[in-house]
Amino acid sequence: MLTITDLTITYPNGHQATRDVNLTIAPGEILALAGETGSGKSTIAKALLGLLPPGSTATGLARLDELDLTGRSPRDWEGIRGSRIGVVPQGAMTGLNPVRRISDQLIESVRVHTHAARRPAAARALDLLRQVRLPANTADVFPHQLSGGQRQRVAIALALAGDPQLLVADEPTTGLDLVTQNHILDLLAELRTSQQVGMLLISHDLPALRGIADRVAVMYSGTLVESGPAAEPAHHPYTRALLAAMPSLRPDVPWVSIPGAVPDRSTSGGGCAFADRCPWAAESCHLQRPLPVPVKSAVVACHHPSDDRQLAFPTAATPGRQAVDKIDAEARPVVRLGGVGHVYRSRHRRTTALAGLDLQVHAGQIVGVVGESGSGKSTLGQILLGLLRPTTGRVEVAGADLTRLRGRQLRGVRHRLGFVAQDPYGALHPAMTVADLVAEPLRIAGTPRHLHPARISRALDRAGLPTDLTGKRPDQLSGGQRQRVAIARALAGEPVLLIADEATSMLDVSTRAGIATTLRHLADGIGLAVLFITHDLGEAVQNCDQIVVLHEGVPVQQGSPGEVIARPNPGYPADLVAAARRHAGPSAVPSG
Amino acid sequence: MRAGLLAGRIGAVLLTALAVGAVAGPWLLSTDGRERLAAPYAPPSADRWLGADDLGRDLFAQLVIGARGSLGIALLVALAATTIAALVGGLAGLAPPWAAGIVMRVVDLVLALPFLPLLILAAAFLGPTLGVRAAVVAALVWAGPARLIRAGVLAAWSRGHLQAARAMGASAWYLLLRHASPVVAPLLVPVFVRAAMTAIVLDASLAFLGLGDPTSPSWGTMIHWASVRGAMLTDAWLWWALPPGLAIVLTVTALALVGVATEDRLNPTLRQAR
Repeated sequence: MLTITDLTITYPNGHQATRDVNLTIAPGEILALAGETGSGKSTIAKALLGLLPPGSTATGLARLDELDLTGRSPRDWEGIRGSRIGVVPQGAMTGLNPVRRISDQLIESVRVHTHAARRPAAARALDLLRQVRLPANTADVFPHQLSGGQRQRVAIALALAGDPQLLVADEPTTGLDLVTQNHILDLLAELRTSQQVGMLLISHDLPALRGIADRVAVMYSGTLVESGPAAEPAHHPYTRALLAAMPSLRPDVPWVSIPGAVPDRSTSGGGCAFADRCPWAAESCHLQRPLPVPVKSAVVACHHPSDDRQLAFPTAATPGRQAVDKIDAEARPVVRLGGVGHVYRSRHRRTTALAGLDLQVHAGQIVGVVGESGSGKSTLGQILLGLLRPTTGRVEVAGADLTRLRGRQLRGVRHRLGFVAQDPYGALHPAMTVADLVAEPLRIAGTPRHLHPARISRALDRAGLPTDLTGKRPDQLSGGQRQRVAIARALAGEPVLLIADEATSMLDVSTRAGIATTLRHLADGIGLAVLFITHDLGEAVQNCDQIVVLHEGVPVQQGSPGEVIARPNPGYPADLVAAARRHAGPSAVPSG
Repeated sequence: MRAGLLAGRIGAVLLTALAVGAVAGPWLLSTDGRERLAAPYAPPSADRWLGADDLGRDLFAQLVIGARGSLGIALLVALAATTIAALVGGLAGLAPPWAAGIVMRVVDLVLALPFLPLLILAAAFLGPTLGVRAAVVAALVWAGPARLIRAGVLAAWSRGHLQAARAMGASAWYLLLRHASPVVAPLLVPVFVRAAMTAIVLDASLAFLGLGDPTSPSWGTMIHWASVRGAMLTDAWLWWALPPGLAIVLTVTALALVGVATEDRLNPTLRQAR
């Protein structure tokens, strides 16, 4: 049905976004297109919808049955976009009109695409809601009255309004919590069967897509490195690394990171784009671009495809037994929380962000706090930093009772804590150099100036950064490097506790395990206590000694990773573990 | 060259020329503008470029000396208004919500005051000296910018790098000096320029209405006397009322050009739209 042949897209600035991409989608087939930031996967979707920025050029062929999709003028898409190809946008909040009822938006879409009269269009709108498993009364509400998952369902209903042959969904589940993500993916699989609609699902989350897709295609640096049946094991080292970079719920399955960064495409020569980061790379890989060749039922662009060879990527350091043993039971914990709770009050309502949390973090220990957005896990970080005074309970950090301290004394406690925020882009002042950024806690704490250079280089070293970066500014660094600068900055003041609030969630999958490894080395090497706040249960399992599961502010389970996975408490923990298991895909690929 | 940059250069050149003329001009003149040197209502000549007023005083000299009054009050008002706006807006941005609420309601009140009538009343009751006029105008124009600066402080406060410094235990002063003020300070430039523009026009309006200081010449005073002494009924308005009018237009235009240029530099979204 959809055939893409040798599609090469060049942006107006001369940047080649994709190179010689070949894909097909049959009616009723789900093709998952996966890849990291900048791999060119969204560019493919834009090309299919005629949404490339003006001035871009596309060579090659993209056909939907008899219809040519390349070389159309911007006005020439009526009857195609929305009618024959439906679109599910990224982030359904922005895709819906906030001031109009769901029914109005659905009816409008139906009428635009089918030119139906109002009454039949209204009937069709209700029919669409039924198809996406939403109750009929959803039609009467406004988008803000719906949950994220419900909004995404409405967006899918809108995409189906024109009765399309092909549905293009760009990151359809990003930003939703795990349970909802699975529901949305189930819905898409169900629609594929009931409506016989072909689907192109684009996501950075390869394992999740493998669960519902028929075939999987993986892009790297603008080229298609592998496409093949979802049920079969992968052959390209990048695909296999991407799958292994997803933290498994089984602590014995290694969590892999891919060293290095995506090459700058303008400088890449004739070789394989992945060669610089590939553990299997031979000389031919650097010199000769691998052409797609059939391997079993897949097509792989690699000189040495293999589904069983050892990957030999660096794996995350797992919690060593010695780390647990070396905790001195007599020693005072770095963090001691007793019955900590916080209630946000506004004029109209009280929101319980945290309730009755007891927690201890010892030196050399990584404690994971797992929960979805709104579970109170970031509130906990703010309380530990003394930025938020809890409404109830006792907070003892680094031997000081935070609830009693104010002003200068409270700030003094912060000098002994390190904080790494989620967003490595906003948290670093854009005009400051790396050396300046890392020295900031020292300036704030009033450390004598002659001690700075030694402290800076030690912090950079511990965060896994080369010291020759000191003169660079944040915009010259990759996302992973920026986050390491943030970690180095947190370490500069020689803290006793590091609070990492979703420190990996904005990074590419391939760099996450590397950051986690760094945290593990810090815990083992210098006895740092780490509070690792995350929404990803797998990351917590792989990286932490202890896990606290938070749900709507309430600690619903505490224990070692093995306990939480093996014997989750009934209710939310059980749902979370089940959803995470499903999300991890049908089978973990053997990665040696 | 980008349009904004060109506008800024033209504006800066014009402003510099006007400022140099106002500072140095009076020393180069052979009269202080109060001596009777020519026939009343004398038309322009080679000696007297803009002729003379009803008392035979040199109008060109009055124009040059008047620049000091007009530009001086603009500078004074802009400085005062920017300072008040920065203090009030900045403190309101840092204060606890209840205190900020009170301050901002006061700002709303000032914004809601009927501008010109109040100004006329104040000028009439408090007297026409330079300081009083500047204070009155400044007291009325600070409110809008204060709101702008508070918004800037609040926006700066939510920045990631500021919050990160806060988590490091930075004091409020450190945050203000190192993280907030570099974000907020550039906002002061358009505030200053706009206050200067408003001040020139308002002061000229006051002077035209006869509420200015008759002993200190300004462009507004010139227009006022031209109007009162019947210049508007004869050709004399061409060299008596028109030149100070044009001078006001020129100054305000130059300030506006500089304002456009700074806004262009500060607001990247505007730059993209162009």
